[in-house]
Amino acid sequence: MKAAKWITGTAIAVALIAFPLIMERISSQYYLYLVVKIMIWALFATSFNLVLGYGGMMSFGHAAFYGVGAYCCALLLVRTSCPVWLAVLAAPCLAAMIGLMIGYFSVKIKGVFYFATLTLAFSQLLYILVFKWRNLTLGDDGIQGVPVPPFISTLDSYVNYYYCALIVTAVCYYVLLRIVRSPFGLVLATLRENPERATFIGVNVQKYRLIAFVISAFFSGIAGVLLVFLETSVAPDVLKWSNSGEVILMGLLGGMQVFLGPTLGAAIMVLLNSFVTSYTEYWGLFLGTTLVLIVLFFPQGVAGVIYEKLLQARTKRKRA
Amino acid sequence: MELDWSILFAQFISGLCRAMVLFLMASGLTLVFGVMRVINFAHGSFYMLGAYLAYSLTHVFAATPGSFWIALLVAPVAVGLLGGAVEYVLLRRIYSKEHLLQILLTYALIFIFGDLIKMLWGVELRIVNLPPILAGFVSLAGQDFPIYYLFIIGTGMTVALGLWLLLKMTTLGKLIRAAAEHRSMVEMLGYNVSGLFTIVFMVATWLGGLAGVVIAPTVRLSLSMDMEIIIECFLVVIIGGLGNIWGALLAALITGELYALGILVLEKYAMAFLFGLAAVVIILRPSGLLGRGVS
Amino acid sequence: MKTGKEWSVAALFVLVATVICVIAPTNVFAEKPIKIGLIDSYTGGAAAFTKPALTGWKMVIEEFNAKGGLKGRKIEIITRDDKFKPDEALTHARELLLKENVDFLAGTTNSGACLAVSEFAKQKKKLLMVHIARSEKITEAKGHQYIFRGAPAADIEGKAGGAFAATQPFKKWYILGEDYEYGHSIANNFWKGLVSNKPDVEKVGEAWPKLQETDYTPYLTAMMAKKPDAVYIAFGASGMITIMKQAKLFGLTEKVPVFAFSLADSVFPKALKESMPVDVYGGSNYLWYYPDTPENKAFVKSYLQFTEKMGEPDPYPSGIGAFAGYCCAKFLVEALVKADSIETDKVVKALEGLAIDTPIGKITMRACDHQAATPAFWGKIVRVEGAPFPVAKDVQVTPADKIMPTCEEVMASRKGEK
Repeated sequence: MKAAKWITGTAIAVALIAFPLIMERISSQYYLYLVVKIMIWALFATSFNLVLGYGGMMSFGHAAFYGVGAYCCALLLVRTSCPVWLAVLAAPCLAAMIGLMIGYFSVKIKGVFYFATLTLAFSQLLYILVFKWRNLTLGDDGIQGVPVPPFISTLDSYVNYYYCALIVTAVCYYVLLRIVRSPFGLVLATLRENPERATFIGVNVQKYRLIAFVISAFFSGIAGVLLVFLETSVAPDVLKWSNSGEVILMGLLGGMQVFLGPTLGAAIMVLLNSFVTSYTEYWGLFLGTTLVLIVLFFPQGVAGVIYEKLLQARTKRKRA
Repeated sequence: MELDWSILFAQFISGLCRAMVLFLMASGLTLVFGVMRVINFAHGSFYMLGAYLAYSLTHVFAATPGSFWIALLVAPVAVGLLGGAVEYVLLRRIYSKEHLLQILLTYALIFIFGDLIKMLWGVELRIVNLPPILAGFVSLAGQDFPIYYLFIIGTGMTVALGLWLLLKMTTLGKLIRAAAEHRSMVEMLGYNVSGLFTIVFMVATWLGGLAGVVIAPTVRLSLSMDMEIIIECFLVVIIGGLGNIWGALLAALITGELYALGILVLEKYAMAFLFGLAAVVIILRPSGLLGRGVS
Repeated sequence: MKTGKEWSVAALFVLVATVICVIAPTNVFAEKPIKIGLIDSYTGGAAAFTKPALTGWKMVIEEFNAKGGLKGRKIEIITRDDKFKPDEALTHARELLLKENVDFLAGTTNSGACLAVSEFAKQKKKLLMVHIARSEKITEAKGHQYIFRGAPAADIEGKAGGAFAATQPFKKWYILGEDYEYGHSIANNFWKGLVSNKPDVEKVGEAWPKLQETDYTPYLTAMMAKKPDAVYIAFGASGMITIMKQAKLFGLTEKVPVFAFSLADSVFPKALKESMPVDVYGGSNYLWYYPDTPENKAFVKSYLQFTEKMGEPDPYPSGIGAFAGYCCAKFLVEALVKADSIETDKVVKALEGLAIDTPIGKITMRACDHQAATPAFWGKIVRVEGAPFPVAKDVQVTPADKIMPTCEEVMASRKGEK
C-alpha cells in the first residue's frame, strides 16, 4: 500500500510542477491564473473545513478572516513602507487575532443556527467597518496597485507566482494535515461527534473549539494574502457573507469529512463557474440544482463518494 | 417643545411602518422554524416571486380598476402553492438530516429561484403602482402620511392577529402547535403530520408572497430583492426568538423604531446597529427576547 | 487507510482538471476580428442602463462593420457580467485578455471594479474605455496612459448640478445621499459647485442611508423635520428609482423642491412610469429632446430603428446608457481609423485630443487626462404637452470646460498617489 501512496504522491507532484510549463506551450496563461485561484480558494476552504468538517461548527462568517488577511496585507504594503515579509506575516496574525475575538464569543453558543448567525453578524459588522472607514480602507473604491515583489510579479507571466502559491499552499496543507492527524485533531473530531461525552472525559470543549477557530482564521488569512498578490487589488466585497457561503458550498460539494474534500470542491466550483458562465447566464440555476442533488443524494460530497467507492472496491478485492 | 413631539411622532409612525414590513417577512420565516425546525433561507425568494407576480398581474389586468387587489388576492396564493410543491418534493427529505444540510438546501434554492425569476421576467427593473384608492394622504398630528403606509401597518397587524387566532383558536392551529412540540406523538394519534407540515409551509410562503405584493408598490423590483431583505429579516427572527411569532413582532417593532429614532441621532451606523443588536442577543440570550417556540 | 484513498482522490482531481484545461476550446480564426471585451453589470439594479449602453456600443460597431470595418477586419464585442462586484470584474478582465485575447477592454459600471480593471489594464498595457463608472479617481488620481473615459465623471456632473442649483433661489439645503463613494462624491461636488456660485447657502442637515435600502421613510420624515428650502438627492441610478418612488409616495416632491442627480435621464421616467415625480429638478449628460437639432432628432430616430430591429424598440435613448455607449464606441472606432491600426499605443495617441461629432455637438477627449469633456444638462422636470412623460424644461447647459479640473490639478493628484 505504501508503494501505491508514494507513486500517486509523486505523480501529483510532478503534474503540479510540470503544469505551468505545459500550459505555456500549448495554451494560454489564463489557465495558470485559474489554477492559482483554485489554490487560493482551496486553501481557504481547507482551513475553513477545520472548523466545519472537523470541528462541526458552521461558521457563516469566515470571509472576515480571508478579507482581514487581504486588507491587512494590502494596506501595509500600500500605505506604509512596510517590508513585504512583515506584511505577509502580519496579515494572518491579525486574522488570527480577529478569529480569537470572534471565536471567544461564538464557541460558547449552542445550536448550529445561532452559531452561524452570530459569526455572520460579526463578519457583516467587519464588512460595514471596512466599507465605511474610508480614510483607512478607501471604502468601496478598494485598494489597487499593491506593490508585488518582482520575482513573483504577474506582470509578464503567471508562472513565477504559480510556483510561489504552490509552495505556500503545500506548506500550509502539510501543517494543517499534521494538525488534523495530531491528538488535538482527534479530540476535535470527537467534539464534533459527541460534545457531551467529550466533556465527561474532561475535555474543555470551548477551548478546543476556540483553538481550531483561531488556527482556521490564521490560514484563511494566508489565503487572503495570496489573493492580494494575485490580483494586486482588493475591494470590501471580499468580506461579504457570500464569500463565506462559497467556502461552505465548496466543503459540501467536495466532502467535509475528507481532508482533500474542500480542495476538490474548490476546483470543481472554480472550473465549472469558468466553464458554465461562458455558455449560459444561468450559472445560479446550474449551481443550485447541483447543490440540491448533492444534499439529497450525496451529502458526503464528491470526495466522500469516491472514498466510499474505493473502500467498496478494496473490500471486494480483499474478499476475492 | 411642540415641534419636537411632532417630529418624534412622525419618526414613530415611519418606524412602525418599517417594523410592519419586517414583520410581514419575519412571520413566515419564524413560523417555519417554529414548527418544522428548518430555516428557510429562500424565504426572500418567495417574497421576490410575490412581488414579480404582482407586477405581472397588475399589468395583465391594467384595464381593470381593481388590478392591485386582484394581485393581492392571487399572487400570495400562487406563491403558497409553489411553496407547498417545494415542501412536498424537496424539504420533506431533509427534516431528518442535520441542520447544516437543511441550511444548505434552502441556500441552494435561492440560486435556483433567482435564475428562474430572471428567466421569466428578465433583468429590467419593474415597478408596481399603488392602488388608486390608497394613493392619498392623511394628516396625523400636523404631519401628512401616505394612506398606503397605514395600509401596510394595518396589514401587518391583521396578519399578527390572524396568526394568533389561527394558532390559538382553530383545531388546525392546535395541531400545528402540538406537532411543533412533539411530532411523533401527534403522528401516533393518527394525524398526518407530513400534510400538516406542508400546510404550514404553504402558509409561511403565502405570508412571504403577501409581503412581496404589499411592499412592491413602495420599491423597485429587481433580481437582488431577495438578498436585500433576507438578512435583516433573519436578524429580526433571531432577536425575537426562533419560532416565536410575537417575538418576531416585538423584534420588528424594536428594530423599526430604533432605526427610525436612531437616525435622528446617529445617521451613519443604522445597519451596524442591527447586526450589533443581534450579536448581543445571541451572546446574552440566545433564545431571543421572548424565547423559542410557537406561541 | 484514509491516506491512500486521499491520495487517489487527489490524483483523480488533478487528472480531471488537467484534462478539462487541455481540451478547453482555443479559438483559431481565419480572418481575425478586432475584439473588444466589455465587462459590465447586467444583473441587479444597474441593468436598466447597462443594457442600453451595450445597445449604444452595438449601434456604432454594426455601422462600422457594415462599412467594411478596419481594412476588412470587423469588430466583435464580447460581454461579461461582473454582477457589480470588483473581484468578478477582475476575473473576467483576465479571462478576456488572456483567454479570449481581446484587443481592447471596455466597461464597467461599478467604480471599484473599474479601478481594479484599470490597474490590470495598466499592467498589461491594454486600453480600457470606461463608459459608465463615474468615480473621478478613475481619470484623475488613479488615471494613467491606457485608460479613457467617454462618459462624464462624478465631479463634473456634481459641480454642474451645483452650478444649476445656484441659479435657483433656495438657501437652506438638505442632502440625502447613498452611503458609498459615488454618493459622497456627487454630494461633495454638488456642494462645492453650489457654494462657489452662491456663497450664502446653508446646509441644514444630511443623511446617508445604506445602499440597497428598502425603506427610506424614516429618512424622509427626519428630512422634513429640518424644514429645508430644497433637497438634494445624491443617489446612484439604481437607488434613485426606489427613493423617487418613495419620495412621490410620501408626497415629498409636492412639499419641497427636490434636486435629484441625473433624474432628467430618460431611464427614470421609463422605469418609474406613473411614479415619476414632477416639478422636480434633474440633470443628465444627454437629453433626447434638447437641443432640438436635426442631428439629435436623427440620432433618436436611428436609435429607435436599431432597437426595433433588436425587438425592443426604444424611442428615448438614455444618457447614462445609450448615449454613453454610443460616444465611447465612436471614440474608439474613430481612433482606430485615425491610427489605422489596432496597436494599443497608436490608438492611445489617436484618442488623445480626438473630437467626435455627437448629436449634441462636438465632444473632445482631453489629451492630458483622457477624460471626455462632456456637457451637463439641468432643468426643471415638468409635464409638457406632447411629451410621453415628464421632461426637463428651461434647460441650462454647463459645458465641461467650465467645471472640469485643470490639467495641472489632475497631474498633481496623480503625483500625490505615487
